[in-house]
This record gives sequence, structure tokens and C-alpha cells, in this order.
Amino acid sequence: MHSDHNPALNQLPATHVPVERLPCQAGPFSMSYRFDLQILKTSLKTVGLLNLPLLLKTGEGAYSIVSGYRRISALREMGSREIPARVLEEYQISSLDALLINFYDNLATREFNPVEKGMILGRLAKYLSKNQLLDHYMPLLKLPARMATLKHFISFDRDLDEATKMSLIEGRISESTAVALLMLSKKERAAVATLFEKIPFNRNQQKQLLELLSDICRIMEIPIDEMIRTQTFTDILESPCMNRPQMTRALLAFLRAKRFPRLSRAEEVFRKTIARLDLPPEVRINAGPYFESEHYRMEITFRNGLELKSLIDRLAALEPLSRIRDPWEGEGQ
Amino acid sequence: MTPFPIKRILVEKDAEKYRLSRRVLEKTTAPVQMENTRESALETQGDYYPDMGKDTLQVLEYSGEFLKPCPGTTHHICCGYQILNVAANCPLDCSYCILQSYFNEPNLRIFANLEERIQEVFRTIKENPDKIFRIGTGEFTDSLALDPLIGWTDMLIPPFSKSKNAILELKTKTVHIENLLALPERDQIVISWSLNSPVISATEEHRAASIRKRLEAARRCQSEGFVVGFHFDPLIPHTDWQQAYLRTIDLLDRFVDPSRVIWISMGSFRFMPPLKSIIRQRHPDTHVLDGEFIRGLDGKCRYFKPIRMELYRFMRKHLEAWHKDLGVYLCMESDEIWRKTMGWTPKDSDGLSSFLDARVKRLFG
Repeated sequence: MHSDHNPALNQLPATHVPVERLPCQAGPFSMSYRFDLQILKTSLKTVGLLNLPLLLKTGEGAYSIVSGYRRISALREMGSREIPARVLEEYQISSLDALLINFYDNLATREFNPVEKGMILGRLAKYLSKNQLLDHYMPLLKLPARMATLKHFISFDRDLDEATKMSLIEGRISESTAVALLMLSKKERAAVATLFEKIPFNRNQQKQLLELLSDICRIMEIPIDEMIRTQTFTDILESPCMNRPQMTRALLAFLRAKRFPRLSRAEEVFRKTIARLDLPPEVRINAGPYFESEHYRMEITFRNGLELKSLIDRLAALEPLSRIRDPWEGEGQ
Repeated sequence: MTPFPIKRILVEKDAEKYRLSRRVLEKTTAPVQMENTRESALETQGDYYPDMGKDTLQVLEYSGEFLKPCPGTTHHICCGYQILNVAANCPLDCSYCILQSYFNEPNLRIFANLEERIQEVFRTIKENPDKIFRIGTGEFTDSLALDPLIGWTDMLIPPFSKSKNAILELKTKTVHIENLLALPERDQIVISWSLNSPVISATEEHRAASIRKRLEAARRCQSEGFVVGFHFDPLIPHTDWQQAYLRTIDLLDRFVDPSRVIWISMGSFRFMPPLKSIIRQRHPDTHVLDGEFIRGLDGKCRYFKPIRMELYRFMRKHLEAWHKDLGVYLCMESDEIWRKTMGWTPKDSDGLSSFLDARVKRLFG
């Protein structure tokens, strides 16, 4: 703690505070975002309130909650009219210490979700240097002590809309997807969120989609929401012939072909060339990733030497094999 | 002293005793802070460096190796260059610059003990008399951008020009040639310019001199007896790129005597994947990321192979139309790309080194 003058908190007497005097909102010291009170209510019903909330008296009959917002919310929902609490006077504690009390109180008992981590860092940033946050608090939050990570987490709390925060908390989008969403305008973010609700992208696909969309829209100089409204998107999303995973794949394929036209064309030419060879089903010919290697690879599956020899004889007689070449050869001629 | 906006100078305590530090302090008009440690120097910088600290010159003692081989990259042919590590970070601000993701510390960091440690480099050169050392200072900074303030040319050109088996290449996008022109030495020194299309130069190479000004400076250096080189790296396809690169080649023809060009390298834009998001943040209006980048065999993002081949074939054709013997070579490309675009291949890094060493012998004897 930063102050040497903190009173011994557990020696403060319990005061019964009328529930209507307590704020319904989390207040400046809370670090809770979207939580389920059910388990806490069961606990309170079974064993009662073991740890008293800590309040800060901010005026005559007015309080801020330093710690215990969830307990107070649960007791309020359970119909308690008075809540036992320990009460500090304003002169007894600094705002930073109140924040730290809440932080350490929660740290010991539960995991923070990504939005809460951002909330904590954002609030502490008002009082502490960024180096203090990086060196001390980010490791406590199990985050890498990097400036970019700090910036991103503070933005999760400050800049994301409620729906996106919920997607992040519930794991429907990854932290890296949330970072990518932060780069977008509100309108673009909303369009992407709607798309994610319509069809299920796994985390890797989310990343791919956002990267492709961002690149294409920058090159075309159009906003992402406009791209999502184009006919191709609508056709895929409303296609009666595709299930949701097929829609996901179709969208990604469409975007990839748009972002990498020459590569996609080369892949298509190569695929057609190989398909036209009429290879035995035991034989496959592949190009390396992105045709970056000069070499192609042939795979032959066989049960014994005789079968292998027979396949090799068939391949040797297959005149069209000599047509295999780099798929871009002849382009522009 | 320099056209770059240096707003302050941090001198670390360990670096105060060196002549280079004193020289910087004499010449600068920027506010100076003396710092006890590296940590305190960084602490005073604040917490976030969106500009990479390009407005702060930090003078420090460097404890690492001053001469290092170019790191190269797997599966690609490297020229066997040696880097003389005089500084880290660059006052220019090219959108495509790989240094943006290369260093984990901010500021223009200048190594004050260069003069004292340079003897180690010459010892290494002398101990290997059969080897030709092609050494450059332009890998981790621009060789001449800060020269008016630091005076690297005064420190390096005289001793290098006496070397029998080493050349020093000063690579720049600036026109800061006054210091070096004032020196009498010319032997074993190559002054080279990074070139690009005028479009890329104007839109992506922030704070750099225009292509025309660079080539005017090259003409002055040539006319004053210096051997010059050029580096078309990174080549970046853009709208009407062929016409744009032809304009640069036309300017080369206008200003430069090709018979006194030691080499011209070509490389296409490539980068480690983390650079992409840094470029997006630092240069939101850039178009350098618009191309079709695939993941190369070395893990770097590179243009799809036929695009690279198109760039190299075009440039080689028009450079060789200008002059047949320019020592054109590819930087960090595969044997396949060499064969298919250059009409020959050095086969491996040793082969390319031999080719460039032969150019050194031809130009400097």
C-alpha cells in the first residue's frame, strides 16, 4: 500500500448501512464487469456475509464502495434492507489506496476477465506511472509487461462497445481479434460484430477475416461496413444451399481471392492442370506453400513393389505430365 | 546542424569521456541532459515512443561487437556484407523501414566509443589479408544523415582509405556530402544511395532527399573522385511502377557515369510479420502494404514470386540498357530467382561474395 497511515481495516467496527444509501453503480474503485451473482447468493444464503464490504463515506449519508460491490449487489437482490460494512472516512484513505484495496481483495479470490483487466489498468494509470504498471501490475494480472498490451487492455474497457465486450468475456472473440476491432471505426466494428453473430468463425478464421477485410478495404479505400454490405457478402450469407461452416469458408475464399488475385489465379491454374492429368488415384502432385519453393512434390501410395512399378509405368506413359510448369508461365503473353 | 528535428541530446555518464561525445556537445544547439545510466536515460523518455525517439539523440558507450556480419536469411543468397555498427535507429522515417520493429529501445543511439574501438576492426581486417571486407555503416542507420553533427566521415574515411583489403560503403538517402568531399582520401571508399521510384520516394521515404537531389549528390561525389553505388531496395510495385522506375533510371543516366559505379543491388520489399502492425500504426496512409505478400521460406513476408521476378526482370533489362557492366545483383533472393531473372546465378552466398569482391578489385585495384 502506498500510505503508511491506513487504518487497520479489519479493526474498523461493523456499521449497518441502509441499502438505499449505497450506490447501485460500481463506482470509481470497483473492478467488476458483468458477473453472475447466482453462486454468491447461494453462498450468502448458506453461510451469510463472512467478509464485510468496505465503504468510503463521501458525505452525510453518502457512500462509495471501496470493495464488496458484488456482495452488496447480491444482498440487494436478496432483499436485505441493511448491509453490515466497515466504513472509512475520506481523510483516512487516498483514492489510490482505495483502488489497491479493491484490486488485492479481488486478486486473491478470482480471475479477472480481459475487460476487468483493462478497467484495473486504466484506473491505476491515473495514479501510477506506466513503468509501475508494466513492472508490477501487469505480471500480477498475468499479462506480458509490454506497452502495446497495456494500451490494448485499457482500450478494451474504454473503447469497445458493450456487445463486443461481452463477446470478448465469453470467449467468442479472442483478444487479438478485439485488438483488431479496436483499429476499426464504430460503424465498422458493429458490422463485423453482426457478421460474427450470423455465422460462426473460429478464432483463427476471425483473425484471417479481419486481416483480409482490413487490407482490402484500405486498398479499395472503402469502409469495412460497406464491403460487408456488398452483393457477394449478401449472396453468401443468404444462400439457401450453404450451411454456416460452408458460408464461413466461402466468405474467406472470396476475400482471399480479392486480396491475393495473382496467387489465387496461380493456385486455380495449377489445380486445373493437375486435375486434367488424369493421374491414378494413388498419385498426388502438390506445390509448396505459395509456390515459393522451385520444386513440386509427387506422393505415391502403394502396397508393394509390384504395385509401385505398375504406377511408375503408368506415370511414365502419361504424356500430359510434361505440361506441368509454373502456373504463371505464359501470363501476359 | 542537421535538417532533422533533434530536440534534445542525452549523454550517458559512461560516454562523456569520449571525443565523439565532446564533439556532439560542441556542435549541438539542442538541450543536453547528462544521464547516469542507460535506465535513467530511458526513464526520462517517458513511456511510449510512437516516433521511436527520432527527436532524441542518445550518446552511449557500446559494449558489443562493432563489426558484425550481415545476418542474412535462410534459403536466400547473401552478399557477405559486414556491418560497422556505429549507431542504432535512423532520423529518416521511411514507412517501410524494418528498423521500426528491429530495435527494442527508442532514440537515435550513437556509439561514442567508435573511435577507440575501431582499431579492433582494423586488427580483424589485417589478420585476414586474403579476405576482402566489404563494410558498411548504413544497415542500422543512415550513414550520412547525422554526419554533419557526428562527423563519422572524418573518423572513418582516412583509416579505411589506407586499408588494403577492406572498403567502406556509406549508404544514404540524404545529400550530406560536404564533410566527405572536404577530405582528401578517395581510395577504398564507396558512397552509395538507396534509390526508388520518385513516387515511393515522395510518399514513403519521409525526411529523405528527393531522387533527383540524391543523384545530383552522386554526380558531385563522382566528379570529385569517389566511387559510387546504388541500391534499389526495396522495390515496391505501385500504380504505373514501370514508368516511375524508368524515371529514376533516366535520372541515373543524366547524372551518373556508369563506368564508375561499383554495384547496383536490387531487393523487393520484405519484412518480418510483426512489422505490419507497426507500419499501420506509424504510417496510416502508407501503400507499401498493399501488395500480394506471401510468407517466404525464411518466414518473412515477400511479394508472390512472379511479382518479384517481374520487378527484377524489368529493372535489370533497363539498367543493362543503360550500361552493360553495372555489377547488378540481387539482395536476399533464391538461386531460382537469380537464374530466372538475372540470366546467371552465383549459386550461393560465397559465389555472390566473389562476384562483389571482383568488383572491388576492378574499381580499386
